[in-house]
Amino acid sequence: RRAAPRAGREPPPAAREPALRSASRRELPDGAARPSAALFKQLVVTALRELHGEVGAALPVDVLTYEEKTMSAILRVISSGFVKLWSALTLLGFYQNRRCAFRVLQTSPFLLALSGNSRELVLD
Amino acid sequence: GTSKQIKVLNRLTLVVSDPSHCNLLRSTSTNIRLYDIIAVFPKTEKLFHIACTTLDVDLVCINVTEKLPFYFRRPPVNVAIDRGIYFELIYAPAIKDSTMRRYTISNAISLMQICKGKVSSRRGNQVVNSNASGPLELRGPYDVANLALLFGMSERDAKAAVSTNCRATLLHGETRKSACGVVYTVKKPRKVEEEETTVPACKKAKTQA
Repeated sequence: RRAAPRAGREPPPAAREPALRSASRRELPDGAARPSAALFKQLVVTALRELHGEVGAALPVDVLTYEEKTMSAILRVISSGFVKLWSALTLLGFYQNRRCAFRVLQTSPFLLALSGNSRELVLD
Repeated sequence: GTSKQIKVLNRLTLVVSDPSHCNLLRSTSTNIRLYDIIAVFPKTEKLFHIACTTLDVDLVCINVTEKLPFYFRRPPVNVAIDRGIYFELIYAPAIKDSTMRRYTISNAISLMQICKGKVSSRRGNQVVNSNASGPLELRGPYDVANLALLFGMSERDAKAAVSTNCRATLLHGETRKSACGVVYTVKKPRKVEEEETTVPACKKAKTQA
């Protein structure tokens, strides 16, 4: 099952805005075990540690929602750590010695904006 | 709306470790003309200088899998940018191995310090290797643009690195095939009511007087 990749990037929020949310989806080769929510969070922290070290792993990241069926989640991070989190997710290659890929679908400072994706609109 | 068909282009990457390998590019053989984009991968500093200044290519690949044996110098890089040649960084090794990740980022940062922004980042040709892991090493365009931020580019350059610079390389390839250059035109819808009001104000005053 390969969904068409979509990602959005809003202009960076004002300095007062503490959090940024991103909706991201994982893809695994078919037949692999799907991770649970706790394992997903551990995966995110591992990705941060691999790329940005202990300081990166200490970045406060929250998994707001997680759907096991589609393996997609909404993550929340402080805006100063946004680039670190996104780059760490992009460069993650392996999960339990299997290849995997992260795709960030949408990013926004507001949770309401994640309910609709303008990139999925189709022209008639 | 209607979408255009996907155009599949051909690309040739020449790995040169010896000056005699460049003879293929210098001679106008028919094999070279079959490819839309020609890239060269120099292994020594002298070849890097030759590739930037004299060779007829569209892209110069920067090695990311090992520490660069030479440092970049500003003169050949500036000449290459003036000629319209872009430098290429691949990110697929960075996904596989942590050592490669370090080399990728360090080489990219040293390149960025020298040429300050006119870089195009692309994916590696890993799709050919195996069935399952091929597509999984690709990343979306905004993800790659974010990676370019890690390499030290500004946000505008990072987005340009996956969009406008790539298109510029394609046009450069087309230019190389033709004799003098390429003009790309786009049809713009014309407004009819504008024509009546385009008389400049000074002209109006003269006719009235």
